[in-house]
Amino acid sequence: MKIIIRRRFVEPPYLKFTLTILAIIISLIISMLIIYATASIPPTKFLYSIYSGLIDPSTLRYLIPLTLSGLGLILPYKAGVWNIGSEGQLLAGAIATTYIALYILPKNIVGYIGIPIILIASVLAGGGYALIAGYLKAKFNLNEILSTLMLNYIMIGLGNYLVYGPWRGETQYGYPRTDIIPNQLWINPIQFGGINVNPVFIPTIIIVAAAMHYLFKNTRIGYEIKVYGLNPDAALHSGISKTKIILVTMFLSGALAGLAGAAEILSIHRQLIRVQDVSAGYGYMAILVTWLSRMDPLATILSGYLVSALIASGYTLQIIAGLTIGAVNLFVGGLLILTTALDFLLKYEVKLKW
Amino acid sequence: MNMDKEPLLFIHNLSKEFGPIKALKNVSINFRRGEIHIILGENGAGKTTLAKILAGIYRIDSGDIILDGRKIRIRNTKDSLKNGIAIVSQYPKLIEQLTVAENLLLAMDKYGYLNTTKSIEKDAKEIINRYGLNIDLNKKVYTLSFSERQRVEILKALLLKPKVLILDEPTTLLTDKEKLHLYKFINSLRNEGRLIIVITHRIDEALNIGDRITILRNGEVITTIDKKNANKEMIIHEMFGATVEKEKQLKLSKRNGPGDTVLSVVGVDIYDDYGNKILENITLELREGEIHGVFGLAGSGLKELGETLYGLREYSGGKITILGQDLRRIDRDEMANMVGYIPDNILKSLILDLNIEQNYRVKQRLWRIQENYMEHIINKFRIKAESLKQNAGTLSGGNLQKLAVSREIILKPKILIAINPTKALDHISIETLHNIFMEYINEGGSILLLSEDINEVIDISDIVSVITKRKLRTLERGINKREHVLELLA
Ligand SMILES: Nc1ncnc2c1ncn2[C@@H]1O[C@H](COP(=O)(O)OP(=O)(O)OP(=O)(O)O)[C@@H](O)[C@H]1O
Ligand SMILES: [Mg+2]
Repeated sequence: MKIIIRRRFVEPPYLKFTLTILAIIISLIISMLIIYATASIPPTKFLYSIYSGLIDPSTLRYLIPLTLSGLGLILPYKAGVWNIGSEGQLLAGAIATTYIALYILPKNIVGYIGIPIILIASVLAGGGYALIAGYLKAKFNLNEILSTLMLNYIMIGLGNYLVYGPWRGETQYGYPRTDIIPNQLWINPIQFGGINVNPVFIPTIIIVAAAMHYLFKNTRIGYEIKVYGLNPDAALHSGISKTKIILVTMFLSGALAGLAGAAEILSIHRQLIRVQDVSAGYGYMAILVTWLSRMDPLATILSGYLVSALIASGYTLQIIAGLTIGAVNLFVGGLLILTTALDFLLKYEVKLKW
Repeated sequence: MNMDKEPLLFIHNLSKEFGPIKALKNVSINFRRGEIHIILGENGAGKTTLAKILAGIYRIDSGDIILDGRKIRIRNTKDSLKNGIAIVSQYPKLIEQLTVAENLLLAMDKYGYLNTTKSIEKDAKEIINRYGLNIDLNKKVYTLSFSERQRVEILKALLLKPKVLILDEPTTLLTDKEKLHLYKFINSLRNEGRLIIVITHRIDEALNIGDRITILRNGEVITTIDKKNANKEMIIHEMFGATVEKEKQLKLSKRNGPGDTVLSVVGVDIYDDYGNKILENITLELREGEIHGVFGLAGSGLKELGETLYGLREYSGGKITILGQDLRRIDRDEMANMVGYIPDNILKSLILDLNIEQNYRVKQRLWRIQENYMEHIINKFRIKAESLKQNAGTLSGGNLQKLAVSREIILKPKILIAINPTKALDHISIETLHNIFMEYINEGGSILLLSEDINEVIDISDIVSVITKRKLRTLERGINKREHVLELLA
């Protein structure tokens, strides 16, 4: 038998999609086998919990922060700017939301004025926070991976300082959390076809994904971002401004993460709590969502849904099989590695000859 | 010394396809021991493909390779080295932060992975002394000039004691003196009975150093001839077939005289990558409708001059004005709109992962360019490509160069700054490009031609400057005769 590996000249349509499905199936099989071998949990139980995650209504609850931040990350990642600071940018949005709602707006402000003000503030906070790292990279070539990571810890520290200190609520019996924000500022789910749907953020996700799809397909700036990512030198020679690309992509990605922070506060927590409870690592999981979608905005909704379902199924697993969330992480990790590995088949075709 | 011209390497009916592109078609060549065998051909003829096959970088689709009477299989670079075939590629790939000796060690696993450079130094010194290579083993690579780097690559190849040494376009970036040194050196290797295969598109070079010359056209062997029986006219004919005559008679001439100043440099100091002053107190003027040719040797600061004028480098002293604006006030996209720019290394301006069409669109002004217009350009520049959708990374070296040049000149910017624009081009393509330059000048364009090719500068410039010893001197307008230039160089 001979194995022939050749570089592809054209990429077959749907290959990306097929490979992703393949990656999902293979990693599912591998994790089932490992879990069966180590904990004797029958594959059916594992499958059932994944399935239950997929249909669990609470999946939509994780989808919002993950997909919003994940969509944001597409922009810098396409430009080869590795923002891993969604976590901090999301928290910046959450903190700004709480601040505006509790300390700036009059207590009796109406929702349709107060909420837009809050959303704008959260976008500016998240985007502005990301700009710090963007500016340092554009001006001084400071590595953005390090700076965004460091900035996450600063924001975590700030958030916890606030809830344990100056912002600790008077009505909270001494718990480390702020007072509850006025209830006309809450965003409550509405019933839609029998499930609870967030009336602000779900439409926002769809609009943002469509807009980004259009941006990369049809606009000059989308093309400049892609070109810069492929060869920064060539971009520079052709008159594409490095500063512009870095600042724009970082700002927008931070802005969307900030919006995710606002979503968490306005529709879930209604107050700022300990930051590790506000964002349970959504900023990092968003990286995974982006990667799984291969940086395609529309596919990000699907990958966001998948990862959210896995989080939800993690809870089911705990209940029905006594497994910890680690079992789900095993699957997620496998999926990530396989997606990356199968990318090989996008560039090369492999044939077996007998 | 046994110098019998016995066959050493015989390739038989080699074919190689890249998708729809047939890069080599049933190529058969007989290489002899102790000869310098030139592979000559126009851009896109298949020369590099052939070299890469022998070096184990590409695999053949069909055909046989016979070395020393034995059929061999080359599946990867290891196989090729094992069989005593070494290649010196066109662009040295060394690790900048390591010393020469460390780089050599990296390339050689027979010295073991844990050894210090001591073991390799003895062998390397012997080769250096034998051939008078002039390399300091303890220097860091980033301090080396291009020709020094190339010598390191050659040394690396020789450490493997190859029977067959392949050099792909070895002289593209060398000065005349360095070329002579290289030729001498290749000769002594040949006299030891090795086979030297030199890939080139330069006819003079082929006639100068080759023993035998094989001409490739469109992936096919046209003929293999002895140097004794060859001359320039006949080689041109074999290389290009019928296209020759057409381009020859086209030779355009210029109509207008010089107009207003479009670019001026007054008393500016220019620096290299390490912050050393490489050009001092430069004064230079480019007028509308003219070609100002600046001749300088490799490493003399041509590249740095071009990059500075395009706004890619810091400079000090004096003032640079482009179309009436201070250079420091011009931002990047404005610059790209006013000035076309061909860098010293086109990989800095093209994106190999994108196709031809997408590479054009990278320039803002070409964002909405029509497909049939692009096709027109491709034909005009004689870029050899399957379609607009072919990836730039799969074009041959010369065709890539043409793509870079065409993109910069398409929309007729006021100024074109061109660093060695014809470097990788074959004889006819150079003529084509010079004609296109003339047409552009006649339509009111201006070219600052920064070139290491003295003939090119003298042939097409209206006014000539020369860089020597960190200074730039401009000859009187109208005087651009070879003697004057050489006088300044002396
Ligand atoms: N990896 C590849 N994929 C697709 N096509 C290729 C690839 N490499 C080379 N080709 C095609 O094969 C043909 C021969 O290319 P090659 O690089 O061998 O030319 P060349 O003789 O070295 O030309 P030049 O003087 O311009 O360097 C060209 O049409 C080129 O586009
Ligand atoms: Mg070549």
